Amino acid sequence: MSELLLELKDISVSYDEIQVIWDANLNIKRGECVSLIGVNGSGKTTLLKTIAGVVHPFEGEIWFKGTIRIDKLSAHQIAALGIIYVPEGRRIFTKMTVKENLLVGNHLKKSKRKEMLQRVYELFPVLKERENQMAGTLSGGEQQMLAIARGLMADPEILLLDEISLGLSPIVVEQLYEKIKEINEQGVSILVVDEIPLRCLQVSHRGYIIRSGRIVFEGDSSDLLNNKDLRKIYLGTD
Amino acid sequence: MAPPEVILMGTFTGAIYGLIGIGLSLIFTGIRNMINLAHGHLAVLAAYLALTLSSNSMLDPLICALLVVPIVFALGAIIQYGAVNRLIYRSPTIPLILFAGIASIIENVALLVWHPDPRSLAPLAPYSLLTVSLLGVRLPLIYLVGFLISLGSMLILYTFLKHTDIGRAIRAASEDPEYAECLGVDTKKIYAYTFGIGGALAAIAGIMVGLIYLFVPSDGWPYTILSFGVIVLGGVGSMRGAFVGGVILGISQQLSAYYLGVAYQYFVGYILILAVLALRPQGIFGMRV
Repeated sequence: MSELLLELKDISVSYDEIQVIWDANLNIKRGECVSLIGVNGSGKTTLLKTIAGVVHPFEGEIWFKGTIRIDKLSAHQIAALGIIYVPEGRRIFTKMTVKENLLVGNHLKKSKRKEMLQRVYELFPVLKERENQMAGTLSGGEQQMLAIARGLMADPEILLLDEISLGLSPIVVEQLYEKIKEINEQGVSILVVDEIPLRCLQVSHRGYIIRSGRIVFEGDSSDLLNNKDLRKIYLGTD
Repeated sequence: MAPPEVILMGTFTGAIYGLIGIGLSLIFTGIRNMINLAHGHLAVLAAYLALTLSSNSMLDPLICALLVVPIVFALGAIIQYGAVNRLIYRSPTIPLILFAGIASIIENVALLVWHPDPRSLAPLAPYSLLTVSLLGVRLPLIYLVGFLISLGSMLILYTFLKHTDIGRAIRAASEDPEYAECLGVDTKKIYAYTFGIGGALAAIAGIMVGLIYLFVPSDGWPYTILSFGVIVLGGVGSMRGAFVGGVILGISQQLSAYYLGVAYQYFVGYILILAVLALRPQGIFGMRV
């Protein structure tokens, strides 16, 4: 739990002329699960997309493993390094079968195909049952499992999970977080963003709070969960 | 009743039209709804390359196709990777201008090298004079060959898209290019493959048509329009639809040539396309968007 896997230094991002992220500093150590918490429109997704190379910062640096600067790389190069973004809204390939979706996720790690398939099928047995079904016919929860499994097929070092509980029932969300914990325990570092901060803080080691594009608090998950003021202001509970 | 050979010949040439349509459709759905205006010109270019190669080597045009099709594949991949990829992200209309330019270059190079007189690959293929009996009708063997090669190419394409990593990446990039990138798919490279394959299908079709009909350097545009017709009839993005669209166009051409005269064969095809656009704009197999 020591090596710095990902480090964002003073990252600023804008869409055209409108700045959405100001001087964001964030880091993830190897093996860590980190939460990024904030309300709608606070810049959470933008920050994940910036790490994934979908959007590029106009200021600041992002370092991977302390030696590789990634903020100028394109998305597929960043994926090749082992940083995999699991998007908001799942974005599964609906015109492909479940297994084909997984194989696209495995695009970069063909040599480990069997091993990876076995791993995700053990984690999500329902995907094995439905492997030849068109992915568009899955339920919302199954689609979210597929989206995570597809990302795992790349054998990532870091998974960036964006809004995984969106539109899902509390029971399904509970199951998903169990799986996230399991994935993290298998050694995959995770940065998770969610609208339900309590649940995601419970599985993560540390958390960041982002508000209006600025990271305003950083701390251990237990601190965040126990701090009365923070709970009230940012987590919306007493 | 129309003589059965008219229907059969229409079906067989229609399969070739289907193939060239599938090429255009693959490029359109695979590369950000991009329209390859030079599609027909790639087909004509392939026919001329096969002509030169075959007449110089005395090899059968179909053997020469084994070299010509990869050449057109490479040309397509280079056009996409070297030029189109730089333009496509700005606006889908900019590549149109590029393709119009490429079409014009191919046409004028063909005029220069091969002259404007009508040419055919048939004299280089002795079997093109043979006939076969099929379902009780006699028809030129070359129609059957064209049909089988087109059908075979479609099956190979289907298998490729379904069962190879590049094929799956092409489909993924077609559905959601931005996210496919996040999974490590280098979409610029995949687009080069897609364009190359689409061009290769046009090349196969161009050589087959060149074995059956005469061709001139200016045939590129009619071929492109024909490819549009095929996918308008069948529905964009549907392989089965393009095949059916091609066959409908092929049969309508043969029937109208038989009943109304050769001058009407395109006219009836276009009327059909307009009718489908009016009644079922998504095409026969297309999905409503």
